[in-house]
Parts: sequence; structure tokens; C-alpha cells
Amino acid sequence: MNINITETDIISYFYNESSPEVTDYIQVNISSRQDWQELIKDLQTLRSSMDNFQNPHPTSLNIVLEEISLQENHSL
Amino acid sequence: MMTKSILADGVLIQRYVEGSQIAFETLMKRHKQRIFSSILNVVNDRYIAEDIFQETFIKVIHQIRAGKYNHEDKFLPWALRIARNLAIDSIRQRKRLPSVVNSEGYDIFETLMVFDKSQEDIQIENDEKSMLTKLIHQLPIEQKEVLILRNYADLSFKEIAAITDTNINTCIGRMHYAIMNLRKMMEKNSVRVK
Repeated sequence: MNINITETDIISYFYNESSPEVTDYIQVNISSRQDWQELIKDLQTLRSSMDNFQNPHPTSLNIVLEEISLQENHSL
Repeated sequence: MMTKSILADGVLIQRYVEGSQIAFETLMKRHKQRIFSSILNVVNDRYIAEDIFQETFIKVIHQIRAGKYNHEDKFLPWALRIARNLAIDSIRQRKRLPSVVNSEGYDIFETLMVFDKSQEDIQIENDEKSMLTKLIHQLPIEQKEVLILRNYADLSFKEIAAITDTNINTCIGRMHYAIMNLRKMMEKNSVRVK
């Protein structure tokens, strides 16, 4: 079976969102497709550059919690 | 062996509606990192991101209390939609600030900002990963938000499509354009990431 794989399919595959048929096809053929490998490498680089999760300042959390208390008092 | 049970978002919301402040606090702490990181990466300003984070959760509280939260929706995509709209509004407001255009048609402040950032990169960081992050901030907002929502918020393309009022193909297409643009920018700026 020959499936026409586009860049869109490769992106879906990378994020585990492609159909089982497309996933199987890509896995079987990826070793001979440098363009697919390059796109996946770029996606990996991109994802690893975006692993710097940050937290809001505790003050922000307190402001929201104060708002909850205000709401509680209003509804009493 | 004892296992710690984790309450689903919908249960926490229900408990908050019934009067448990701790339930909402748990919900907020569970999602604060993904929501804050997503906002921060859209607006690229920590102080503005803090304001939008607060505004997002205050809006979330009001909407839940007004009975506008649909339990069938997942909480994170719903909250991110609110955050995303506030972030986009903030960017639009900032763009309305007066700009000074030079004889070549460039906004002087923007040009200075880019120049300052480049100097900072050379002098302080020299970090390839952080350079790539800076390039991501130069992408068009539609492309940047797909990258952020997929990689930081870990939403599926279907969920991103619902948040951005588009469809799955448009979202994946924007991701593809983002990759192509980043390739060009990396080449232009001689950035190589291992």
C-alpha cells in the first residue's frame, strides 16, 4: 500500500495524532526519508527549547484567592 | 498499598460551587504552570503575564459562579481560551501605542528593541536554546500560539482548533509554517541548535 504522506501527516505523527495506518506507514518508511527525519528533528528541537515551564508569582495566586473570599462574602 | 486519589477537575469545580475554597485552590495550583507559561510565551513580558494570569482566574471564578462552566468541557482548554483572549487583547492594546516611524519606514522603538536584544544575546547569554526561544517570539502570533498551546499546554490540535476558532488542518498548517519560518530565521541569524 502506498500512502501519500505530507508534512502535515509527519507533524500529526510526531504528536501521536495520526491514524494507525499513517503511523505504521511512516514507521516503516522513515529510515529512507531524510526530509521526514529532518522535520521530526526540528519538531524535537522546538519542543526541547520549550521545556522551561514557569510559575506565576505567589502574589498572583493570593490575589485570586482573595477574590474567592470576596465572592464568598458577597454571597453570604 | 495506599494510593493517593486525584480528584478530576470537574469534581473540584463542583466542590468549589458547593463552597470549598480549597477545591478551587487545588484546581488553580494544578494548572497554574501550564496556563502561566502559555500566557508568558504569548505576551513575552512577565509583569503583563502576571496580570493576565490573575485576570484569567478571576474571570474563571465569575464564570463558574454564574453557572457558565460546561462540565462536558475540559477545564484546561476552557481556561486557556479565556487566557488566550486576554493575551491577544493585551497585545492589540500594546500595538495601539504610538509608534515613531523613521525615513525607511521602520518603527524606531521596534528597531531599537531588536538591536538591544541582539546585544544582550551576544554579551550575556550566547545560549542557542534561548536564541531559539527568542526567534519563536518573532513568529506571527497565529503560528506562535499553536506552538505554545501544543508544546506548553499539551493540547491536541483538535483542542487548539476549538480555542482559536479554526480547524485541525489550519492549526497543523500553522505549525508547519512556524517550522519553515524558524528554519529561515535560524539560517539568517546563524543559529544552530544541537
